[in-house]
Amino acid sequence: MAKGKDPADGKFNGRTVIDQLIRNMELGQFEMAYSTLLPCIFSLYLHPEDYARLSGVFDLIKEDAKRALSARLDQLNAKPLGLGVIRAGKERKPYKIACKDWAFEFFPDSEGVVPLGDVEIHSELNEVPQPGYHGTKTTLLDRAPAVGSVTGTRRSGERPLAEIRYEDDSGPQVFHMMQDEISIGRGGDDVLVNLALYTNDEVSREHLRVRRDPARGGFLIVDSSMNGTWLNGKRLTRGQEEKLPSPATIGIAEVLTLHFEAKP
Amino acid sequence: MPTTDKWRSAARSHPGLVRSENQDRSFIDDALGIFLVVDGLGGHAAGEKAAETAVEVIRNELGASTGDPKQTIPAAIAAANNRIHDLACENEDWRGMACVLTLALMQEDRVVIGHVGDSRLYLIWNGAIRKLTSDHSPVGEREDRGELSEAEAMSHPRRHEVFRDVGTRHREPDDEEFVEMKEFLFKPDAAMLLCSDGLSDLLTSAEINQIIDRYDGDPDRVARDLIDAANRAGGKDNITVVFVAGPEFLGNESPQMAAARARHAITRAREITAPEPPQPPASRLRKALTSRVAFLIYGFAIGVAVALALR
Repeated sequence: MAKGKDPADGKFNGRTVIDQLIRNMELGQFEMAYSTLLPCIFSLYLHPEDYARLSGVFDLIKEDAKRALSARLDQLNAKPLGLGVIRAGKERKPYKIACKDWAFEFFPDSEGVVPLGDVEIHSELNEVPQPGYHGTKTTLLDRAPAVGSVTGTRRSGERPLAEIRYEDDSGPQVFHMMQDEISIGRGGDDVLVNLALYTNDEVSREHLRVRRDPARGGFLIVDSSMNGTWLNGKRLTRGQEEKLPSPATIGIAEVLTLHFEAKP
Repeated sequence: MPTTDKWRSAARSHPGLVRSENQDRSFIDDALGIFLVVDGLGGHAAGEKAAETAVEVIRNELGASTGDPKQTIPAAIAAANNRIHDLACENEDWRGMACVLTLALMQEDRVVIGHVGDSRLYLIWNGAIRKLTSDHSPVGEREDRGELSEAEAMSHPRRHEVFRDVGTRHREPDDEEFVEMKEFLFKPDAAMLLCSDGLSDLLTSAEINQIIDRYDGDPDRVARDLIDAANRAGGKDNITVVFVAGPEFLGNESPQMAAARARHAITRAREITAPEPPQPPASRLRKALTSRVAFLIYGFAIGVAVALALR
């Protein structure tokens, strides 16, 4: 369909995007026992030409979209007028979002499936988008089940390489490092961590990794978090591997501390 | 199904496939936030009597007191201990009876645990399962120190020996090596499982987690599925589970989650913003002639005509 001849193409603008976001949010609602979750993370795919044309105003659209979605959320949670009397006694489930704020990201459609004037929106209920996570289209479909069990990875006959003591919201814990490399973090639907911390979202889903250097026998640590990792009081540079002495204290996002000790 | 707005809970118990009698007991009080699993020790009716006594005493003690759980829990468990001990001293049939137990008391958003023996409390959050109680047994201690793997501990010949129990001798609430106390934050999207060793001896924590991952809002189904799985794995002992899910807890593999994923939500503008085809003029005229207003006018006109005719 040639551009300009189709009325739908002519109408395509920021308003369309925002209307679509609201519709997507409502379609994606997820009812639980006592509340209903709404998606709060949106990936928007545009035809490359539309993407180029609108790229200057993405920030303005995002700002407007935040206000529009927040207003719609308030509206959904507002007490019903008049008819509410009839439904009195029936408890209403509040609507809410699992993130602190709405998040939007625009992408040019690289697969040639979104025509000019259209927008394809993929939404998620929670999960903080992480760098590199949205490179291709992602949906909540086909996620591997999460297995974060500490003991599940333990094989018979092996002895711990190191011990990590810490205290999170579940009380004091001890973790035995059984394999050469472990990931530590909050974990989540699609993020497998060996040491799953029971804590708040200041801690990244995968916050850091610890690995043993089999050649030299020592340990190495690398930070992969948003809010930082401290080794014996010194902040690590994200992505840069450093030597991990034993014993050592590892600070996690100023939320909790791990006490690391290599085992002979 | 017992349910509050802060959690949903269910308890199930089964004798298993080998034993004829069930010496396990469980107890839930949603109003007071009490969750209890008891595993009786002792031949014939004695183990059952010990477990029943423990439930009865703890329920009365906690129902009557409103103090700090860090004091009321050890006091209630010690009272149960001493009652079981007294009964065992009075009656030849009940000599040596005892039990192990795990007790959780909900206090606003925190859970306080009192624990003696090798029953367990697991915390499930964000796809991961954690055992919060220690096993007061030689094998359990070695497992907690990392000297035995979970599989090695599960198949260990001395698995069923316990260091601590409720009932074999007189106890004070603050005795060393008696009640292990723990506390944790119960997040709305977390769940906890209390179970007797009849479950944890046959299912690994990962297997337990897989079943809990199917939670769809019905805690009783999880409890039933756990017991079925333990029986399929041999059902060597009595199996008891108490499952408590926070209001926002939902298994990753639940049908709701699958449905939400399926429809979650990929939308296109074209689906709704495509304009309606323009209507031809003829159909507009027909629409006007058949509208409600048009019929009102017809009625009025007929009325006027009839009135004029009758004049």
